[in-house]
Amino acid sequence: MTEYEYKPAEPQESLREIIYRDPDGKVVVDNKGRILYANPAFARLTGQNTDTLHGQLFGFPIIEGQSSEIEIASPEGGYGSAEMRAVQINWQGIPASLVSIRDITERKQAEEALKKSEEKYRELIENISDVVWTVDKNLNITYISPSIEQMVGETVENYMKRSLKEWLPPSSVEKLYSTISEVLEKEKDPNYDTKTPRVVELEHYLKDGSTIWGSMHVLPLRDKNGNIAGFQGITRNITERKKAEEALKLAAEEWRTTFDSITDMVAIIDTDRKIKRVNKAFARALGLTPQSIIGKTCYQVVHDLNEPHPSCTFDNTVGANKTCHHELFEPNMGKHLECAMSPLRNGHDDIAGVVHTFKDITRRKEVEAEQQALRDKAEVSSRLASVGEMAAGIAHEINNPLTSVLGFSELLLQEDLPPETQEHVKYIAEGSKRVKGIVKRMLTFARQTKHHKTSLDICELIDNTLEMRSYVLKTANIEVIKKYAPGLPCVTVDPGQLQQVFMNLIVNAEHAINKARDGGTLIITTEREDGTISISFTDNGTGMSKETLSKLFHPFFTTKEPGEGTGLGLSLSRSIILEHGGTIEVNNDFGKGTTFTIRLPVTQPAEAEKSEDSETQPKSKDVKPPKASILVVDDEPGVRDYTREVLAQAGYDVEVTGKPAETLEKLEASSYDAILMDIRMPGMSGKELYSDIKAKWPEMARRVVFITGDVSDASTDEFLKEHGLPYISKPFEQDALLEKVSELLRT
Amino acid sequence: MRANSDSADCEFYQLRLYVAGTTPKMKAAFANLESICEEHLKGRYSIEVIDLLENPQLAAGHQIFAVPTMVRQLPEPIRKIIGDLSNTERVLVGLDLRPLK
Repeated sequence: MTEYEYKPAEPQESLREIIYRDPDGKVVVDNKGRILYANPAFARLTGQNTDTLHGQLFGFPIIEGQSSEIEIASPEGGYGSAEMRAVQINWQGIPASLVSIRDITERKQAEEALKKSEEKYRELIENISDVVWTVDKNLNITYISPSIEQMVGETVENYMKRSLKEWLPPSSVEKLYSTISEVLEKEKDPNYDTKTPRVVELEHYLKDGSTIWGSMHVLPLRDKNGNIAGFQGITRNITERKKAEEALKLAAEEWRTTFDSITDMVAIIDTDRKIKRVNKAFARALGLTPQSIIGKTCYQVVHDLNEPHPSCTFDNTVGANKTCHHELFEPNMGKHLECAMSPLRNGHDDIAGVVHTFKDITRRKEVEAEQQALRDKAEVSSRLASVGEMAAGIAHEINNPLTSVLGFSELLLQEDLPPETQEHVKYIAEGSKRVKGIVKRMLTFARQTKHHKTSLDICELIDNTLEMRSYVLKTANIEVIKKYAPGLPCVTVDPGQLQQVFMNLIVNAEHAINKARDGGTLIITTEREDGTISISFTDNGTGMSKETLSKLFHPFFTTKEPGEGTGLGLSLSRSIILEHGGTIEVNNDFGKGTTFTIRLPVTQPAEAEKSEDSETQPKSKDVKPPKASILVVDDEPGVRDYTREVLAQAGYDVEVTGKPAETLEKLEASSYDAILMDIRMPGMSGKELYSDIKAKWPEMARRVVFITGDVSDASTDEFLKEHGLPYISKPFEQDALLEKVSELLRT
Repeated sequence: MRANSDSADCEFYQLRLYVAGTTPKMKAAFANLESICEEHLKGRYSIEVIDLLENPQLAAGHQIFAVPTMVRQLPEPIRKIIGDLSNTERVLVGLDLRPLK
């Protein structure tokens, strides 16, 4: 270390000149840090004179060569940043340090600001999940923001080892290239805003090879000369959005398919009842295309009306904000429709429209009507069954006395009576025959509940029916003209049911005629047509309107006043005819009259059942009865005596008894060629008596003929059929009785 | 001129470090100083830190041109070192603990 004596020294001319002019603060210090020289810039920095600075202790600069940052006290107060350098020099022979002080306060501030702003952006880029990237023209990655790791699962370093092309599936690379060429193409247009990025949605590989969806904003990257050097952009992960979009698309597709697969008509209408959307079933039902329907009002399209349908529940649906239902018959479509209206609410829970569905319930209505008809028929049947039961009871009661009246009046007629008396007795005989006919018809009608079909002459059945109505027809001044074809074959029908049909048609004719005028004609025609017999009822009444005609066979449709008719007649008639394998049709001349024509299949002769009415069998009067003894058992004295009288006149030995017990005693005593036995007697019934006889004298049991008052009684009918027993129904005429007896004796 | 080795071994060093605020640069200067003292002046030094932002008037006595500046108040004569004290060699030279090469 060299000591020297301090003295102000003149700097070397050239060095001093340089230092003096230097804009940076320069100060020359000795080894103790004392100022040997300070230039004007330094004086300015410190706010002092160069002269006063000389000799002051500045400080030993600890640095050498490299720069160091220090703070300089500014003359205005406070501290500013400065860059300090020091070099060792020889200052006029003294070892010294030349210290440079450069004020870097402003630079420092700028740096600080820049740093802050950089930090801010770096933070921004590093914290947003979007990925910022730049690539060169070959799509090699030149920058990728750290968020790539979060998005792809690969570090920035590893990510950059591959080209962007390798990170995208081939289809996405293609998409990216086409986007780039689009960008380049657009660039040629001078009006094109080059700052607007192109957006492309691509798939991007993850580290594990699976893919995500990203939306890329792409902008070209230019060099100093404005030539394209590459591309920059931002990629955002839109996988969730894509999934949501897919789900939405699927939901929409599901909804559309469901909408169109519904077989009911569905329309969505707005608050002005204008149709916004319809399903296929809707368009199909109206025979229109959805396009031609949309925009029209629902009442125009469905009902062909200029205002809402009166039964429409639209206002109710919108007003009460709830689903409403109504049913209607739409004549345009010929369909029964069940309509439902449900309010459609938007996101704010306001009513945006109505979902309107129409269900075709025509078939259901028909089935319901058919079921109703069947129920009614069943009801009528059960009502008739009870009527039948009563009729059977009454018949029995009537038939006993009627047998006496009819029988004895016949017997009386054979006597030699005064002419006047003979005439009176004839009235009795004819009157009782008519009563017999009425009772028989009553039984036939009542018996319809059994639904047994039998082969019969249809004309006779019509006559029987007409007779039941003859009084009414006569008083209504209606002339009945019968045009029966001769020699018609038999038909197999249920007489009770057919009578009901005929009755309905006759009553309807009466009604139609009465409505038109006082009196008229009813023409009943029977004809043979190939394999069928047609029966027509033609009236000259009012005829029917088109509307009536269309609903004619509908149950509960009636043109009669309430209480006059149930509206079931024709519907029931049609069911009955269809059940018989026949048809019923109507020919109508509005204002002039109506013709109902029934066609029934002709029975094959082989199928025809033997008529149950054995009384109508051909008689063999001429056969002389052999000498035979007959026992008559009947509790009714009139019947007993009449039978004895007829048989005795015919030459038989006849014994009678009114008591079943006495019968057995008589049989103990002697044997008989025939036993005529009432089936219903007090004390012991004919059935019981027969069992006793059969047990004791089986031979005698074969000679029994029953006398019945009511074959309509099921148990009696069954009993007779089971034992194969002959019988004769009350009331009987003498010929029938004799025939029956001789028939038995012949065997 | 005394021999450095004699005085340097036994004398007490009263040091004062002038800083402006507690910036990282100032803290670094203090840390550097402390570690140098611990190594070369263990047990015979004291460091007083003067923050000129808080006590600007204290700068006047020693004519502080810049911070960080370290002033050796004892042993006399007063020595001043300017800079962040990161160059240990130069610090030792400034403290007269080493000869200038």
